[in-house]
Amino acid sequence: MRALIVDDSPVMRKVVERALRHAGLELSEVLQAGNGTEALEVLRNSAPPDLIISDINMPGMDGLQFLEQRRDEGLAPGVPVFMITTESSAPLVLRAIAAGARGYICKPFTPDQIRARIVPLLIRSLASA
Amino acid sequence: MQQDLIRHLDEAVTEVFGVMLNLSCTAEPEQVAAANPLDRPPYFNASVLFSGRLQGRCCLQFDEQTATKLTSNLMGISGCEISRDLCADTAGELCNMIAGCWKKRHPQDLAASLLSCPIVTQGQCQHGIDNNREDVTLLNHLDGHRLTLRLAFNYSNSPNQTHKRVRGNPRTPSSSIP
Repeated sequence: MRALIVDDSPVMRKVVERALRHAGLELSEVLQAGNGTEALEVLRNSAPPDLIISDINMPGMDGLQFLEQRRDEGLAPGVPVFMITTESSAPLVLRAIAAGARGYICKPFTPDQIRARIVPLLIRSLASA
Repeated sequence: MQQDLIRHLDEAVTEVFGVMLNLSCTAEPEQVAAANPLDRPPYFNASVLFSGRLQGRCCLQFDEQTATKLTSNLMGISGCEISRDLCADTAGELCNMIAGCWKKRHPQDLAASLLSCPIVTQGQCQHGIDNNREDVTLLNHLDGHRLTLRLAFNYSNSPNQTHKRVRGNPRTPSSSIP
């Protein structure tokens, strides 16, 4: 499985990767991007990943703008996107869902939360692909 | 009000350090923190700004040894692999999570605000006192290490500012210490 992790923090990219592996996902490749602009470049220039995890609050293009631009360009349309972010306000969650996010996890998070929230949706997504 | 502020901040710190680092923190109130400044410079100072109905700043400060310990726990790597950049990044992320956890403990109408990206500097943290803001400082102990958390905020009556996103220069470990 290939995952794209979008976060301006290298520390959090590593933490999320560890949490995904701890949740039982066998990651053959982890693509990384520091903001939405970099993430779009990855999607334009690479084979689509199986999973995208994105923060919201990033310098430059943020996670919501990334989702909306990705949708508008039709990039990796069937790939599930999950937001992992500190922002938990209802308007942001609704905007993320409207832009195509499949799930939303607030920091701080545990690997168990990752397993419980992401793995079932990922299994359904892969089954329907 | 002040007691709720301290309790919510303490709960936020406990949640972030417990969940992300598997560390337990104990907090002491502002008077103790003021009498016991951090004593091992250089410091990492992380700030996150609130903009919207809730306006203000959350600041987290700790020394290099504490930064190494926290980064090691967060990333699951040994101390020899840890750079200053990673420590600065850790400071910013922890400050961001504490600010978010504290904000979510507010009533929804008062908490309407956005968080900035973290701003991280190295050196002595300088803050002026703003009498128009609630202001609290907590000194936290964890596993032989210390950190200081400061929160200063007020509530704006202008709802239009709710959607204004403030950005910082994230994780720029600009050092004022040679």
